[in-house]
Amino acid sequence: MKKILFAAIVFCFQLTFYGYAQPGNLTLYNMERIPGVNQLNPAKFPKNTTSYFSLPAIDISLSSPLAYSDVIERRSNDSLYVNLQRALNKLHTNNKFSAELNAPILGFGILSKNLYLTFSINARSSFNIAFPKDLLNFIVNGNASYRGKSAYLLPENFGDATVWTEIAIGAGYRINEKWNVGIKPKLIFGVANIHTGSSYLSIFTSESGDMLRVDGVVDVNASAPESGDAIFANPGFSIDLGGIYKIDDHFEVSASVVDLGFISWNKRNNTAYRTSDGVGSYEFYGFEWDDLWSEDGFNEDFLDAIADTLKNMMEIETLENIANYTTMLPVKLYFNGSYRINEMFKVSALYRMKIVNKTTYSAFSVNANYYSGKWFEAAIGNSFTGNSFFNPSVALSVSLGGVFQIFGLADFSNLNAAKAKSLNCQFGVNLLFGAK
Amino acid sequence: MKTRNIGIAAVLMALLSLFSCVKKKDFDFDRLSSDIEISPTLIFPLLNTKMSVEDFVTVSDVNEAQTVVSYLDDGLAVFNYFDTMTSYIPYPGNPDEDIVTLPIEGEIAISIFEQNASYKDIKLLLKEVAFELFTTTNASIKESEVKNIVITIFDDKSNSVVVKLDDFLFNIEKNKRCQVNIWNITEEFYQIVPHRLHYSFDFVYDKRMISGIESDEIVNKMEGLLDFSLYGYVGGLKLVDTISLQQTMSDLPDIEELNMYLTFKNNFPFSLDVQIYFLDENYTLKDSLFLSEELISSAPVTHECASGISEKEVEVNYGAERAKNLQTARYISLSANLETYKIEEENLVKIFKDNFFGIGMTVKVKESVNLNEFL
Repeated sequence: MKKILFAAIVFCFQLTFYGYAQPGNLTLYNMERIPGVNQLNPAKFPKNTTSYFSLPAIDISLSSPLAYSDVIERRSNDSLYVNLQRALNKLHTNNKFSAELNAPILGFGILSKNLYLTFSINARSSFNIAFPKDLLNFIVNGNASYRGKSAYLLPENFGDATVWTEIAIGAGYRINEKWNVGIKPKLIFGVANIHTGSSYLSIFTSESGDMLRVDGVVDVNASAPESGDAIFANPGFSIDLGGIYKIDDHFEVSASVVDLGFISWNKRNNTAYRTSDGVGSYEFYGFEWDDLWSEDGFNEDFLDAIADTLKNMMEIETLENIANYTTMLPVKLYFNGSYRINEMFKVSALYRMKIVNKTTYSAFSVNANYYSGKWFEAAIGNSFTGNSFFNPSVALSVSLGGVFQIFGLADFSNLNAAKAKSLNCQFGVNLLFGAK
Repeated sequence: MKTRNIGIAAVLMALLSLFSCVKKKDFDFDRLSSDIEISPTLIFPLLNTKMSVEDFVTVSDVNEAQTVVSYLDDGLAVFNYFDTMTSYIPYPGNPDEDIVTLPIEGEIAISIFEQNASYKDIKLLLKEVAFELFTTTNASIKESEVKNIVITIFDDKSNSVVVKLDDFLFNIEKNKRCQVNIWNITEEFYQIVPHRLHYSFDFVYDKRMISGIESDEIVNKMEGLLDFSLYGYVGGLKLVDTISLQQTMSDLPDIEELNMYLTFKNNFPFSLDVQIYFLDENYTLKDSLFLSEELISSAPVTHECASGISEKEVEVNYGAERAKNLQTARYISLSANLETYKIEEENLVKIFKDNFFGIGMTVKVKESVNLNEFL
């Protein structure tokens, strides 16, 4: 039982730490027959249908600087063990983890001549955390290798987690044979948030080791729902914009910006944690004799004394309901170019930039799409990210009877699941009407 | 049609390769060891302290006496001992005589170190202390018979130093109050606790009623004040203090390697031979901090005063085996031999309130830690 629990912890640890490669649902962008493509560019119309009704679906993106095999190693006798030193060697100086969950609850769309109207309700969440290699190195190897320099344990804006619900009304319009444009305003209802702001933490070790200095700032805002809260307690707004330009019968370029918006977190549910004097800094030169020894002998409470000292150093204040604060949604920019070879094949190249807390996550992918009749679409592709050049992806869409569409997409950063640093899965069911 | 088949085949192959590369062996969590071993090397300052005379001499309540360290106007450290005691001594002589001869025997206890300290190595032997008597206003001591008295300072097993007065006779006039002060002490004593020794006896020959019967008695109110200004020389004085640990440190992670970097700063005008012993619960010696005692030289001395700081850096390296001795220690015994500057020439030195002994200890330790214990 203990092993199962331990395995679960390690696995959750692993899942939580997916985030840097960030290929995400790049394959979806060039899928022409899945209505959900409209979520990545509101100027895109799904082909072969004039209206659709989507049932609840799931879209999960996880990415990490570490693969499973970077953390858990197999011995020659097939036993497994956690190798943190190996994990450490695989890390970059700065590392980013990310997890996103998008659960479309309800959606439908209608095409009327050149106007394509959509409506959707989505439950969404985003979790992003950045941490430097120093943090794990500090734990695994200690601070002896940091003599004369600082170990940066937590960078500024290192964490952000948001859960929200959105109601979107989109409109795409075909201006002419060459141009499509689209807009999708969204009403946002924030559910919960943690925002680390300018918080950071570093520890400096003097050359001789006779002094440690802790520098840090705590500037955290948190908002959590309480029973009886109105759904509109934390309002927000965002917008998707997109455009498509057909150069000729083969070439097409498009661009979009998605989730450009904010959430205003109401002060009624807010808790803020702050270092009262701004930058907290504490130099430690060792204990006084009386700190270590009490009248009864060795003072075992001295560790508590350290904790109290650090707490006093940081002078962290807990402030309730002080003011509204605003967080930006993780905005994404897409730039795509495609070449249609014939009726059955299309190749494309897509660049996506994701901006979270002033930090950018970039990914580039190439895809090949295959179309068969009006019922089948498949795609394979590969994404290139900052630390991985092989992130294969595959997508399938099957329309049974021309009405019941089942689709699935999967992006892996490696064909060997144990070596994959990212995972994106999306499954859903749509009811298509008015097949063209 | 051919192109279509190729496309479908490509997709199926991609799917097949994707899911066929999930090796069950890699995810067999039943075979996952829950041990996560790390060996961090930490370096941190453990101790950085300055100790003055006050840190060595603490307030004590032995026999309701108090000992404190105060300072003269010139900054010289003074050891003060206060004691107040009132007793009734049966009249020793003929009540009709105005002059009585009063034998005084008594003890004063001085606790100048922490309790539980061992004084067996304190070699203070004072004898042949001379004194003189004089009286305050209304003094009426007459024809005092002055004899030398013996003052011996020794360990009385109650962890206090006792100064014993023997064979001290003087005459006191009936119904008069007198105060006796002891001043000049012999040079030998002066070498150790010099400058000023003031112990006053306040005697009143009085009548009082005991069970309804009038009785002649002497009220002996002793108000002692010993001022030991720390001025003199010392040689071969060993201070030993043993500190009890609440429990051993064996629960801490195993130490693979331990390095200690010690910096001593001595601003006292005497040298210290220091050693730290690690004892088990049976007071059996397990190990010592240094292979032999480390001599921390006296501060430079100019005009009987420390005029600088003597510094010494010592690096101590322990392997895993010796580190284990430290972790199983139950008692830590601190030992220091004190020796003033040029002891052979009996040069006197003064100790001031701002004289200090500083210890800085930086520890570099490589530990074996199993993170599973924290999960």
